[in-house]
Amino acid sequence: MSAGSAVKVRLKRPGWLAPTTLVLSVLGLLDAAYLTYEHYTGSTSLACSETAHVNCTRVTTSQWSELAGIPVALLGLLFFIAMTVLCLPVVWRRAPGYVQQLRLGGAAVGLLMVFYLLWAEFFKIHAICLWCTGVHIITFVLLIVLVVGEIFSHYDVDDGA
Amino acid sequence: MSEKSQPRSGKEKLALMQAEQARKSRQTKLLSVLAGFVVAVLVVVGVAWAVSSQNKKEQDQKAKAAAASNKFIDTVTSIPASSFAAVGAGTANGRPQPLANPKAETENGKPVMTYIGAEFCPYCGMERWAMVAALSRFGSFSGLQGAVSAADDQPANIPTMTFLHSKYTSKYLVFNSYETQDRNHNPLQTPPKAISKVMASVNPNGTIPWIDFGGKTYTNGATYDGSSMSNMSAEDVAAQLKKPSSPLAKGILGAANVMTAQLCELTDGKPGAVCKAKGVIEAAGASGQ
Repeated sequence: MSAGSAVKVRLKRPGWLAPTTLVLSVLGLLDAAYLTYEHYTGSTSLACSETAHVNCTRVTTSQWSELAGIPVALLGLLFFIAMTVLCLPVVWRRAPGYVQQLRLGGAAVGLLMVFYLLWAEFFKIHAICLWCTGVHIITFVLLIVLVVGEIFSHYDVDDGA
Repeated sequence: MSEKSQPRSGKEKLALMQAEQARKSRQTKLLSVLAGFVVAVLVVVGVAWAVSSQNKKEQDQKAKAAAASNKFIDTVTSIPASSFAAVGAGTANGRPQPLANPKAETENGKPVMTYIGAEFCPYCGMERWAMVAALSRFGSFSGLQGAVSAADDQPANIPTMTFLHSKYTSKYLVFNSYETQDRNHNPLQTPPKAISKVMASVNPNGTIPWIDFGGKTYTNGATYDGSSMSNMSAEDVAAQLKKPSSPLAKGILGAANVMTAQLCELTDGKPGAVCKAKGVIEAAGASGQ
C-alpha cells in the first residue's frame, strides 16, 4: 500500500441476508398480528384444528397467554414490528454497526421468550397452538439466519491504489 | 477485476490468501458451533415434549384409576352437621343471581333445581362436590359414580363424581341434572329446550356449570376455588372434607351452605333442622339471601 493512498474498509454482507430477514420478520408480524387480534376478540374465530395435543384456544386463553398483565401475542407483535423495521433493506444498507447488535440481541431475547412459552405449553397447558408454533419457528430461524449472516459478513479493504 | 484491486506484490498476494484462508476456517468453526446449537435446541425441545407427554399420560391413567373407586362418595353424602356449622360461608365466592324473568319451576308441586354441566369440565367437577353435599341434606342420591374431569383442560384431572346414572329422591325438591358431554367431549344428555332457553337468557356463552334454583336464581361457574384438587385423588379430597379447617372443606362446605340457603328459600325453610342450622344462616347472611 503506498503512502498517502485512501484506504476504505467496507463491511460486506451476504446478498441474501436483508431479503431473508425481512421476509421472516413480515411473516412473524402477520402471525403475531393475527394472534393479537384473536386475543382481544376472545379467540372466538381462531382457525385451528383441535386434537389431543393441539388446541389453540386453550393456549391463547390460558393464564400463560399474558406476562405481567401484557398479552404475549402483543409482545410478539411489538417484537416483529421492531424486527421488520430493523431488517428493511435501507436499514441494512445505511444503519450504523450497532444496529446489527440490536438485531442479534433482540432475536436472542425473542428465542428466550420462545423457550418460556414452550415450557408453559408442554408442562402447564399440555397443549400447543399451531399459530404460536409458527411464531416460535420464525423467531428461531430469524436468529439463526442473522447469526449465519454475521458469520459470512467480512470487511473488504479497498486501498484506493 | 480492475488493476486497482490486484495485489501489487507476491508478498501481498500471499498475505491476502492467508487472510482469506483464516476467514474461511473461522467461518467453518463458527458454522459448526451454530449447527451444534441448532441440534441441541431441537433435541431439548423434543425431549421436553416427550417428557411432558409421558407426564400427562401417567397423570391421566392415575386419575382414571382413582376415579374408578366410589368409596369416597359416602363421605360427601353424609357430612356431619357440625362440619357445615363450623365452616359457615367458608370461602364460597359465587352467589346465586336473580333471573331476569323469574318463573317458578316445579314438578309434582316441588321446586326444581337444575344442573347443566359436562364430565370433562373441571369447574363442574368442583361444583358437584358442593351440590352433592348440599342436596344430601334434603334427600338422597343413588347411582353416583366416581369420575374425573379431562386431563387436557385446566385445571386438569379434578376428582369428582358424575350425575350421569344417578337418581335423586327428596320429599322437598326435585333435582334434574344434565351431563352434556363425557370426559372426551362425546355428547351425552341434552337438556330440555325450556331450561336451555332460560340458560341462554342469562348465559349466552353457555358457560358450565350452570345451576337454576327453582326458576328464580342461578349460578354460573364454580362457586368456590377448587383448583388445588387438580390431580388429587377423590379419597384425599374426602379426607380434607372431614377437617372443617382445611382449605377444601372451607370451599366445598361453604359453597354447599350457600346452596343450601338458596334451596331453603325454595322449600319454605324445610327441613327446619337444615334450614335453621348455624352454617346455613351464616351463609345466607353472607350472600344476602
